[in-house]
Amino acid sequence: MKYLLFICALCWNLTGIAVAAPQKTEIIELLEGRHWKLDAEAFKSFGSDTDSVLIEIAGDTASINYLRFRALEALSLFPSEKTAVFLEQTADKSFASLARRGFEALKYGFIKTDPERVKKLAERLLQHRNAQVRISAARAVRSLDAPSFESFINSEKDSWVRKEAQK
Amino acid sequence: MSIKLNLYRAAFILLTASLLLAGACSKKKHTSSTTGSLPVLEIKQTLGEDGYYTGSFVVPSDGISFLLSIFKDSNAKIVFDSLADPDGNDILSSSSTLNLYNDASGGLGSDLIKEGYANILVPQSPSFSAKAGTWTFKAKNNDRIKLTRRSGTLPASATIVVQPYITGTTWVAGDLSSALSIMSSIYSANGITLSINSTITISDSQYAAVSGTFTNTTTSSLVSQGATAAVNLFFIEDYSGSWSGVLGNAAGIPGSMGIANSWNGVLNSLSAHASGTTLDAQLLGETAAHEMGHQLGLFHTTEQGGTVFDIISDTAECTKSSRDNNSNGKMSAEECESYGGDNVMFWTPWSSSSRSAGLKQETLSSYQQQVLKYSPIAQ
Repeated sequence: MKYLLFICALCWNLTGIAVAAPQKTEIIELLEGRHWKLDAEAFKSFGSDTDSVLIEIAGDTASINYLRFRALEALSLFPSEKTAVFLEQTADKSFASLARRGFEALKYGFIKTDPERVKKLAERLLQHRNAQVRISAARAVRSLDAPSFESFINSEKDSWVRKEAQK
Repeated sequence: MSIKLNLYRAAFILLTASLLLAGACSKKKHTSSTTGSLPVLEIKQTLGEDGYYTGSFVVPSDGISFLLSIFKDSNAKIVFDSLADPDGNDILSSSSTLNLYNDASGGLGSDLIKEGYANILVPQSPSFSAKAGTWTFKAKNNDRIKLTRRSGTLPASATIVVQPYITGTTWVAGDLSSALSIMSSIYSANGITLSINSTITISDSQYAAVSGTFTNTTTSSLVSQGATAAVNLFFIEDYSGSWSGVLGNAAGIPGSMGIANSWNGVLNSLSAHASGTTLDAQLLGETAAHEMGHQLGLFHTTEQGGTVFDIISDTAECTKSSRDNNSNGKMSAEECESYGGDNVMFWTPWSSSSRSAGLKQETLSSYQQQVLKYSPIAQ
């Protein structure tokens, strides 16, 4: 009986501690605003399942882009394997504005824990047709692989892109 | 007979002269009202023994408004130390009964952007007026001070010239027409006529995506292309760098007026307002109207946290203490419905679901309208 009461008390406490999976509407509310900055604390307070909700929002092609852009930025706070795969796919297969943000989220989320992964994606994106994507990739490569960066600078045709990449 | 002939000749000369004069006057009037520059003066300053520059300027008896701008070419922070009206009241002193100490970017107490440029707009609310007489200012370390001044009869209505620009290759000028029309309707419903010029396409690829920082070299180079007699709206394809989540931003509250420089316009991101490549014209029109409101001196009616409000006394305040229903510290337009959530200058748009349900932000209070009607750039 004593053990049963102990187990009941333990279960009661654990359910109190556990963080419920966030609702999509709660996350979207954090993504709204005309002038927006990433509120890391607010997103992290929703717990680890937040990445799934953010992936759902960022991957929703019917959704307005500002929500998708912000969801991508927020994903950098949740550096799971699932996040990395999604960001790589976004960078490789989406339109330029989304691709750049996908790459940048991967860079901020994984540069310390998995720089090789960031480098591989960056090197692919150095050939991207959009100049802003190339600039973003080149800035990452500059600190990760100096020879690749030199090679990019020597081959990039737009002088303003070369200049921006070196900023 | 000779006298009669001379009279005919004199009458002919007088008639010709008056026709020529009338033609010249109407041409001059046309130039100043539609395509001309605003009257902008550079003010002479004197360096005192205390290391401060001082100067003065006169507001005429029919003065309506002015914007006093201070510049620092190195883009270091710059402010005014004082600005006294003809009665000697320093409107930048925190101890004055009515002051802009915390509100004007040119005031010491405000946290608005002051890098390289700051200003003081009078009137920025109906509590202030461009009193006739000599105004005196004091400032340190600046490179120049300029005054954009408006005078004439007090405005019951106003027209503001708008010059749109578009960058990038995803969208073309025609894609903006619905949003510009919505923006025009918003202002029209609030007593202000917008005279919107044809959109200018800027095709240089480096301007497709720019930083929202107006001192950034590329952004500065883009915005400096803006017209001097218009509010310049730059519809950029995208923001670059860390500005990725922003819908739009103005160069200041207010930004510059009448002078070609880095702060003479607002940025609106097209990609942020699209689903795929389809632009949300209503939201883009509202954002353009909102950013233009900032550029002309209007603050957010209620800021995000529900504890900071604008300086206009007739706008609704949506307080955190009474309206933050979900206690998340952010005042949504929905929580502020009937408390300013529908104001053009509310800090955030309606949520996606509310917008889908048809909710719009299209109202300006009477005093907000007055600030716009008195603007140095309005006619």
